[in-house]
Amino acid sequence: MRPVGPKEEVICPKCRRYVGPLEKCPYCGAKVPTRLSIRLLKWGGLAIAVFGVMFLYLDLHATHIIVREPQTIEISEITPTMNFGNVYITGKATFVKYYDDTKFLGMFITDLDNENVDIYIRAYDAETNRLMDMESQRLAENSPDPKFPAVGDIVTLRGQLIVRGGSPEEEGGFAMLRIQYAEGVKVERPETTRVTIENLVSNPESFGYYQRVEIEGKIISTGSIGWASILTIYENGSEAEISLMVPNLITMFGRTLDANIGDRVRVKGAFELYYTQPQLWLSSVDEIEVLG
Amino acid sequence: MTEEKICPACGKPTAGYVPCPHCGADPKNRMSLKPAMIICVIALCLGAVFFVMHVRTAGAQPMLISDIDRWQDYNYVWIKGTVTSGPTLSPTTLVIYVQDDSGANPLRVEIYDPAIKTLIAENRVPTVGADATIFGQLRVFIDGSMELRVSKSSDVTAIKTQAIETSIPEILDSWSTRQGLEYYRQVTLEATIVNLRPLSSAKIYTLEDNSGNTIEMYVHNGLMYLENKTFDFRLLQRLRITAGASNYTTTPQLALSDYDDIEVIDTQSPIQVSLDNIDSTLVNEFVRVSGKVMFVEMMGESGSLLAESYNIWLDNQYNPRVLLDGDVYKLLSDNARQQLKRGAAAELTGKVSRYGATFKIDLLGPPDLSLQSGTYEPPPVENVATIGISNLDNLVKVEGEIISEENIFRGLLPSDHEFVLQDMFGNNIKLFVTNTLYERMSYPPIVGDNVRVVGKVIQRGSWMAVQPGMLSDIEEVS
Repeated sequence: MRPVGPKEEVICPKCRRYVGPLEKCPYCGAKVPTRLSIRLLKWGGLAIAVFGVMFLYLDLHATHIIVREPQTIEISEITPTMNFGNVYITGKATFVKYYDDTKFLGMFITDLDNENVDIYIRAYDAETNRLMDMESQRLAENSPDPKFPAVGDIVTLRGQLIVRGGSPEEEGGFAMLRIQYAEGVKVERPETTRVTIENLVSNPESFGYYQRVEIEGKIISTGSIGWASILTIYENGSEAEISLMVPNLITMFGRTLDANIGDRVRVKGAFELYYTQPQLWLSSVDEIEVLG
Repeated sequence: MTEEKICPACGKPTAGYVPCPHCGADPKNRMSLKPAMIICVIALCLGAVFFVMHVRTAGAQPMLISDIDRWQDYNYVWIKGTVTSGPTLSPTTLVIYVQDDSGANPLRVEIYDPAIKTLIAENRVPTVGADATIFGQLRVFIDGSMELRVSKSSDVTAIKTQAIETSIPEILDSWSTRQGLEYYRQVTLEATIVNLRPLSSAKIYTLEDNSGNTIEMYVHNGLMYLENKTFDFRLLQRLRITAGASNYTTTPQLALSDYDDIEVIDTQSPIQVSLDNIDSTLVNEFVRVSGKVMFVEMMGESGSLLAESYNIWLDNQYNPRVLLDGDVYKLLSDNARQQLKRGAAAELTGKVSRYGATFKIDLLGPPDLSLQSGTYEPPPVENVATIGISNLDNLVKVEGEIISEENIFRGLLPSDHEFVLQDMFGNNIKLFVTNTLYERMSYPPIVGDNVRVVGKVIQRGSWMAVQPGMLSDIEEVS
C-alpha cells in the first residue's frame, strides 16, 4: 500500500515507519503528531453527536423547541403533500372491522363537518392487540371511557398519513392513516337520545347517520351473518321491530353478550339505514342491559 | 534513475513488468473509462425512452383469473372477461363479478367511490354480459377468496352487448346447455310478476310467462342510488324487461341493472270468485276474493319469536284460509298492518293452492290487499262447559277469571303459556297462548285477572282450550 497523507503525519518521527492515521506508533510507541483539524473533527463530532442526542431527548420530553406535537387537521384538508406526515385527526367512525386473518383493525371515519369525506384508518396487529387489551381492561374495571372505537364514536387519532394518487376526494386518490400508538387513540362515545323503535322505523329521516340512540324492547330473534350477529328487537305496544347489529369483535374483549331471546333489554347503539331499512349498531357489550 | 512504475491496480512497483508481477493486472487491456461512461449513458437514455414508449403504447395485458395465486396479493393486474353478475351498489362500493375463459370461478370486482359516481354519470356501469377490461389491485385472502379493487373509473372498460329477444324457456334451456360464457348476456323478455320475496338488501321477483314457466329476477336495493326512483311494481303486472341472464348458485336468474329497463305492458286480472266457490279447478290460479276478517292467527317460527306467517279467516271458519308470509306482511303499509284485525273488510288477490283436503289462498308479494276497518265479535260462550270436541276449530269468545298458569317448556326459547280460565258458572277451560304472542304482550295476563278472549277451539290433552291469534284477541275486563 502506498503511503497516503503528509509524511510528518503518517510516518513515525522516531522509527520512520509508516503508521497511517494512528496517533501512537504501533512499532516503537512514539507519539505521532496529528493535525489539529483531524482531532477536532474526531472529538468534536463525537461531542456534537452526544449533545445532540441529549438535546433531542430533552426537547422531546420537555422543551419542545424542535420536536412538536403533530398538527391537527381536518379530514377534508388532506392533500398528497402530507404523505407520511404525522397528524392528529378527528372524525366519526362509520365502519369498524377487525380482520381475523391479519389481526388488523380497519375503520372509516368521516369528517365531523362533512359526512361525505372520509378516511380509512388502519392499526396493525401490535396496536390492535394493544387497543383490545386496553378495552378488555376497561370492561373489567367497569370504566365508562371506551378505548376501542365502535361505529358512531367520535375518535381522535394520531398517526402517519399515507396519501396516494391525489387527495381522497379525487378519483384514484387514496388516503389512509396508520395508527402507530394505541395510547394516542381517544374515543368519545356520544350521549344517546332515548327514542322509541316505532319512531326510528316510521321516521328514519329524522335521525342522523350513526346518531347514537337508546331503545328498549324485547329480543325476539337472533341470527348470524358470519362476522356479526343480528338481534331483532321488538317494542311492546307499538309492535315495531328493528335489527341490532352485534359485531363479533365486541365479544373479544373478555365479556360476551349475555342476552337471549325473550329478554327485555335496554340498548344503546348507532343508527344506520341499510338501504332503506333502519338498524342499530351495538358499540360494546356494556351498552346492552338486560332488564328482565 | 528512471521513474518507478506503479501498478494502477494494486499500487505496488512493477519495475516495468507487464503484467504486474504482484497482482497480474495488465494495464494495456484496460478500457478507457470515458468511452465506457458514454456507452452507459447512451444505453441508459435509450432504455428509459424505450420504457416510456412501451408504457405509453402498450395496451391492456390481462392475466387469467386461474393464474392468480396467493403471491399475487396486492398486485396490480388487468383482467378481461364477461360480467356474470351485478351490479350491486352501495353509496361507497359497486360490485360486479367477472369471468374469463380460463375456467376459474368469477372474480369479484369492487369499484369504489368516487369512481362509481363517474361510471353512473357516464352511463358506464358494467352490466351482465358486458365485455369488461378492468385494471385494479388484487387481494388474495388466506381462505383463497379473491377480489380486484378499482379506484379509477378510467380503469374500467365495459362494452355492453345488445340485448336479445328471448323467452323464459330459452333462458332455462340456454343455462342447462350453456357453453362457456355465452349464457351471460342482456336479454329482453315479457313476463308477469307472480311473487316477491323480500331480502334485506334485495327483492327477488318471480316472473312467469303464459305457459307457466318461471324465472327469478334479482333487484338489488342499491339500484336506488342510480336514480331517484322507487321500484314499485305490482302483482300480476305484465312487464317487458331487459336484464342480464345471470345465475344464483345453480339456478338461472335475471339481474336487473336499471329501473328504466322495465316497461309495464298491462295488468292481468285475477279471477273474481267468491270464497265458497274455490275448488280444485282454481288451484295455481290467481283469484280475487273479498270477505270480512273473522280471525287472524299469528304463526310463530320454530327457532325464534318472529312471526312466520299469518293465517286469515274470511267470512267463516269453512272458507279457504288466506296465508300471508311474515316477510310479505312487513311489505304492508303501517295502516294496513293496523287494520288487519277482526271485522275488517278485506279484498285481496292470492294464488289458490291445495293443502291436503283443503284449499288455501296464498297472499303473495307484492301484496295486493285492501282493508277497511270494521268490527266482528263471535257469539260469546257463557258456559265454557258447553265447548266440546264438536267445536274443534270453531271461533269462540269466552270470559272469566284466570285461576292458574302453567309454563310449557320450549327449549331455549321462552315458554308457551297455558292458563286455566274459570267462567261465571265455575266451569273451567284452558287458554293456550303461544310464546310468539305472549312475549309480544305489554301486560300478559296473570292469575286473578278477568279476561275476555277470542280464539279458536283446540284440544290440549284431555282438555278443550281456546287459542287466541293476535294481541287484540285478549283483553282484560274489570
